[in-house]
Amino acid sequence: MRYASLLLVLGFATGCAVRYPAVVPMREQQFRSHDQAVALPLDQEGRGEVANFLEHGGNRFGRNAAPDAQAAGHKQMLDALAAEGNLKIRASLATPDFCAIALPLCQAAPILRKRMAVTQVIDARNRQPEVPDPIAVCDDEYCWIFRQSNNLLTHLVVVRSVRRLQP
Amino acid sequence: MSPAMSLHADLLGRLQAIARVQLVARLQDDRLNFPGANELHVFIPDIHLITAARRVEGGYQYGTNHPVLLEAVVKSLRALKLASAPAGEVVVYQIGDLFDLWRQVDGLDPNANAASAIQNDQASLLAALRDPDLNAQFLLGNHDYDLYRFPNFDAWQRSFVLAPSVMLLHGDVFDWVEKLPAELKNLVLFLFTASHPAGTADLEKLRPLNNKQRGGRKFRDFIQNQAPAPTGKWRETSDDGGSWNVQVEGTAPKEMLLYLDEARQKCGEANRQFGSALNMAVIGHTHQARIAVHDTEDEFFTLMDCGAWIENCSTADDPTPRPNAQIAALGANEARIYQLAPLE
Repeated sequence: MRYASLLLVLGFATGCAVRYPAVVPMREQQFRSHDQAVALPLDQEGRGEVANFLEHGGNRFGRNAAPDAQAAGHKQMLDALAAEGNLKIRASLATPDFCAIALPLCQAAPILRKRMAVTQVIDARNRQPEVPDPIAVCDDEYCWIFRQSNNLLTHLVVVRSVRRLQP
Repeated sequence: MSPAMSLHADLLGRLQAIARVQLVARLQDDRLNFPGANELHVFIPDIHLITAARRVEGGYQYGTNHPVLLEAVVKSLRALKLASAPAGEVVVYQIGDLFDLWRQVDGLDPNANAASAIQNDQASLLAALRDPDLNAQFLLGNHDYDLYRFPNFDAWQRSFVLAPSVMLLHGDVFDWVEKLPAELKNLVLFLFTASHPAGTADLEKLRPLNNKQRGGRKFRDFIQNQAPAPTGKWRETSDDGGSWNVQVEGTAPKEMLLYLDEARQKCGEANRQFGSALNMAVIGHTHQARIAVHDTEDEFFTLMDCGAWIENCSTADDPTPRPNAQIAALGANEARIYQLAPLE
């Protein structure tokens, strides 16, 4: 009887939709802010590169400026990433809550609040998955992919998100 | 000395440079049918990592043994691998339960945050294990089975076949496979073949079985063995030949033959169904290091249980608990298991 129920569970489990983990891909060159992640805290040059990327709708080679619906939030984000104190994280917290991991950054950049931390970042340029895992967090249109080490965010690439908002 | 015997000697020499090394068991027998003269396969067994904070929060009375030594061992293996190439090939496997997701979180961790947290908390050890030059091969155990769901762990497998004769798997399947109805046993049998490696869909189908084994347990006081695992009689290392401390079915105590019969039967079924020639299984999972053999006129089958880096063991000479810290190696028809301890 016990194993009949187990068979039933197995059948049911395979029939139901599988919930896949959140994954952030490293986008093509056109849709990522940098080829090599920029060091944090952001200096003027790094900030300018990210800002330019965002001002062109996440198209690094774009010729036309595009309105950024989250411009105010992104400005706060760039300001926050220029301050070393905002880069401290608690990397050993087993939580999907990005703000629990990166509280100082979230306090300075509210655009990140109630967003999920994603550690499954796919970068096909790499020989194998990075260790330690990057930490990515996505706002409505962009994903901010951080490298981290010793409980500090150390590098950043911004990519145009592949997810689309619900219409 | 053949190249592979040299690799055994090289490994031993490197281990002795960084640790106190004792020989737990050794089997030298051409019937292993694993003669590969230029290759050495090295097995790192169960480690069961959790974060330091979780260990306190969960009230766990034990943790991974000698993590600093383990990291040194892994780095030494990397150096051995690089130094041996191209004439010799050293392949390193971590054979499952590297992460202990069952102790790190209650229930499912849908987005790999637990695995990442452990990886971040044990950053230098994980960096060493996942070093591209080491190119370690990883098995999914039962405590980290759920990693199959996450792209960063796509390379991790439930089993490897080391041609022509060796099945490498974590070993948890032997806890429950014989209790399954025939339909499920057939699905599990595919773990024992190189021609049909278990894909994500198969692992998803078998996940309820893995979950059932977890059974809501908290593992607060122990995982496998409340008392130190018996491992027979050790000796100091030397390079003189000859088998040592091999548990022979028919004469060894039953406790030293755990899963020998199950492994032999499963490999036999796989051989009949898939035309393979498996006559050895290498496992972890039980946290009890030993080499056990079924040796009759008709059949010679070996089980090598590589031990663990968690919980304790004891020897036949001395019941004093010792922290498990074992590593095993196979090549040139010789299997060895070493126990390590930090140099004084």
